[in-house]
Amino acid sequence: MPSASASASASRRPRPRRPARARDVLMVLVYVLLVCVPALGLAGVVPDFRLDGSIVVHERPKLARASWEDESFQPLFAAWFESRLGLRGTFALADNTVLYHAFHETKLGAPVKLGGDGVLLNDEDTLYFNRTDLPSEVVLDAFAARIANLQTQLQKQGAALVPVIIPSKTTIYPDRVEPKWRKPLPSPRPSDVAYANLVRGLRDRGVAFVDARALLTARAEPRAYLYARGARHWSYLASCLATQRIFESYGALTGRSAPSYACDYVTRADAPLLHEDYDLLRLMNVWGARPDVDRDPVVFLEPGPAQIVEPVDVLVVGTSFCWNFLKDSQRGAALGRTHFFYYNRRLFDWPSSAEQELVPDSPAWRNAALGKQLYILDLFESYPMPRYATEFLDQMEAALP
Amino acid sequence: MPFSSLLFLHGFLPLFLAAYWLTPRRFKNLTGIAGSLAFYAWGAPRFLPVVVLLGVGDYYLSHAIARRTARGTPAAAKAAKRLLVLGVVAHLVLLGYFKYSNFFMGQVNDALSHFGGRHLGWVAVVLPIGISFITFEEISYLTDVYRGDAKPARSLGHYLLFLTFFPHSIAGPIFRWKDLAAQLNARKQSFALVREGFARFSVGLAKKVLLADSIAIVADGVFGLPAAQLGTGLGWLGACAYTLQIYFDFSGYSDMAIGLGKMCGFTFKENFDMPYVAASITEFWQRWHISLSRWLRDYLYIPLGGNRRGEQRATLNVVIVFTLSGLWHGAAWSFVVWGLYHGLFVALERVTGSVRDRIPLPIRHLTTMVIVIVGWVFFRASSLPSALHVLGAMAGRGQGAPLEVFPAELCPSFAIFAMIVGALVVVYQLGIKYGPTAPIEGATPRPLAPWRAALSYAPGPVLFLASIAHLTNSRVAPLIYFKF
Repeated sequence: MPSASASASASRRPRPRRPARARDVLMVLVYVLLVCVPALGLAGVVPDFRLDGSIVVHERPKLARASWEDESFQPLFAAWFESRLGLRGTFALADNTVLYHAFHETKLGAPVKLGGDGVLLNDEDTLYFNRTDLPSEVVLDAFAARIANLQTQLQKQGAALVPVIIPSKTTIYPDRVEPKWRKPLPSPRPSDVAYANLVRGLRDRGVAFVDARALLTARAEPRAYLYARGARHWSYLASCLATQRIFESYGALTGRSAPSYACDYVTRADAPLLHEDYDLLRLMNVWGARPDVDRDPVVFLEPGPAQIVEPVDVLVVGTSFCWNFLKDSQRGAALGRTHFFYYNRRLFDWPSSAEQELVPDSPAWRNAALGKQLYILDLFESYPMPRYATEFLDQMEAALP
Repeated sequence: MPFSSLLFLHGFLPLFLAAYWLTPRRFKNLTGIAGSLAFYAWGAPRFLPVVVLLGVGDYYLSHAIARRTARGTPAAAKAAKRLLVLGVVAHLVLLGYFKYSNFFMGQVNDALSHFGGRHLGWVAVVLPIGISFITFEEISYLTDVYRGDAKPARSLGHYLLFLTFFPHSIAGPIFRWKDLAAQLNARKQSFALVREGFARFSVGLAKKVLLADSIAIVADGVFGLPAAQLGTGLGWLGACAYTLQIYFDFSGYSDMAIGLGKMCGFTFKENFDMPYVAASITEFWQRWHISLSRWLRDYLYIPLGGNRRGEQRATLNVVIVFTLSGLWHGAAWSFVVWGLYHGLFVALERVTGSVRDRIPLPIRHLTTMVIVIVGWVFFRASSLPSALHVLGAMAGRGQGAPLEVFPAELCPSFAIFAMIVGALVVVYQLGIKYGPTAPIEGATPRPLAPWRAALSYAPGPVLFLASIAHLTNSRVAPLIYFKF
């Protein structure tokens, strides 16, 4: 039995006041929730915001003694764990939003860079804009000679190879590249010199090509109609204008009647945010980013049928800039049997979109590459003398008789 | 597994805390050991047996030393000393092998190259995480037992927990057995302590993730520039950035360690005490990495003779201790120079003590800060020549060629903002040191009104949330999809 003095001393012992203790319990609970809730995402029970863009999927690594001991298991497991955490989208959006609104920045290393007047730029374009290690005049001249050679060979077979110089977004909006994304370079900038050298090389060899850079920079339309401020790629209108020239070159090279390709357009201010012209805007993954940019009118080509003389069998070789051409081609059924060599790595059948790995000289490759009437070679400016183009030239030179 | 990793925060930490809190009081130490060994096994699986064997060896060695010192005979004392020397040398040899053999072989091969000889074959040794801290803790344990300042561990479990307890095993603070022994036997566990622990952890996490890691962008960018592109302004910017980065990084890590300790009922000693408010280099070292400074004083400076052998010898001892401290921080000449540099300034302050006191306080603060900033250049640079390049630029001898990097990537606004916040924190600390609100030693703080107390709890969760949001975002990299 406790003595009277013991109970008295116990009653004198300071005890935490009830509200203070309740606050402590509550705060511990808050912290425990902060620590545990994201982990519950592993069980898929935490609702979250979806992030725009494609995110690398990490597989759960298999645990083995050897991989544990050589510490190769640990980073793979950590990457898998992080990729499965709950509230990932919410946290990323919140952090990006603070960066954007408080500092007018995107995350360091993010693919989207902020230009002036709400123009969003892709990091590949800002890098190209500032590059100094571009191919020399001699190298570009040799590249032009190879294109000329293939164009001549194909022309003998009644087909046309039409290279298209697609401008970088920084070419359309050079004044919107902010000083912090601009290196002090001599004028003309090396990127402009490289472009001029390629054009000269092609012209000197009499190559028929489409200089979409010159075409688009000379247009009277607002720049946002050709390259939307929030877009990675050129617009359907820009693509259509280039396509008109492509078909003109096709006609001139083959002597066939070229499809007449209409580019009448309307603008709509109520385009959904999912439209391609907002893709960089969405890729920023920011809440409340530039409402004026996502209210920019979007150009839609008129659905009127083009005057198709005869559908043309086409092979397109190049980058994602070619998707606009392919998608728009369905508007007037201008294309016949069509394939797309995406970066000369994946083979797409169009319009079914059936996709497979591209294996040079395989039956599928020969089926897609040989016997076409029109070959479109995308020379996107930001990728000077791209590898996919030189590889394609190699493969065609080897395959043609 | 750094504390500022998502795997630690949302994986290891909740699992460990759940296990620890649910374990009955008498088995909590076992849970602590199991968790700590698992933590170490994750980061350095091959070295776990080495650490455990060292712990077991120390435990039995300490008991052997204690038995001999207890006998009180000269022969037993001699034997105890021999055992102590054996233990200390064994630890130093291991530290030397793991930490310095690559450096040593590099120097030998450089010398051979210089004289036209062939390089000696050498397989680089991997540095086990935390080996520097663990070695110092083991040496202090054996020494304290030998000196009679502490009793040997009551059980092997207690000692293993002391040695491997994960909050401190990677980056300190350097524990002393005598500070922790009583807490290993009995410690309090309360919601208030856990709440305080989480709050302290959150502050540390924010220091590390929001400030240090952001400021590191500037420091890394500047120190990564080719010498030709470094100008005076950039040199100073990089040095100042690193000065702030290392403080918030290291003190943040210590805050997290102290917070984790509190969550488990432990009270660890403070490791930082507003070091940048120091008015001298001597004071700086009383406030920076306190557990290391005290360790060096007690286990190196005093055994070297301390102040007991005259002023000249004491000054020399200071220089020796600081130079070795530099080498302890890293196996490179730049660290040795950094240690020597600080040692020389501390020695100079000993010599010029009374003269220095006559210099106006603001100037003393300023000179101390400049000395510290310049010193960090040696610490941060990848090599001694690289440090000299940066220092040359800071002295106005930089070439300042056009930058090859984007200004936006070298100095993003949020990193500059983090630097400003960091600088304001230091200014605020100066206010604490000299302001009217400076705490009076021994005075009981006045209890806060309930609403103020409740409000004072808010920053913790907010900082924690902001830190994990920033951390999560840094691990997410959406790419543009091709257009379908």
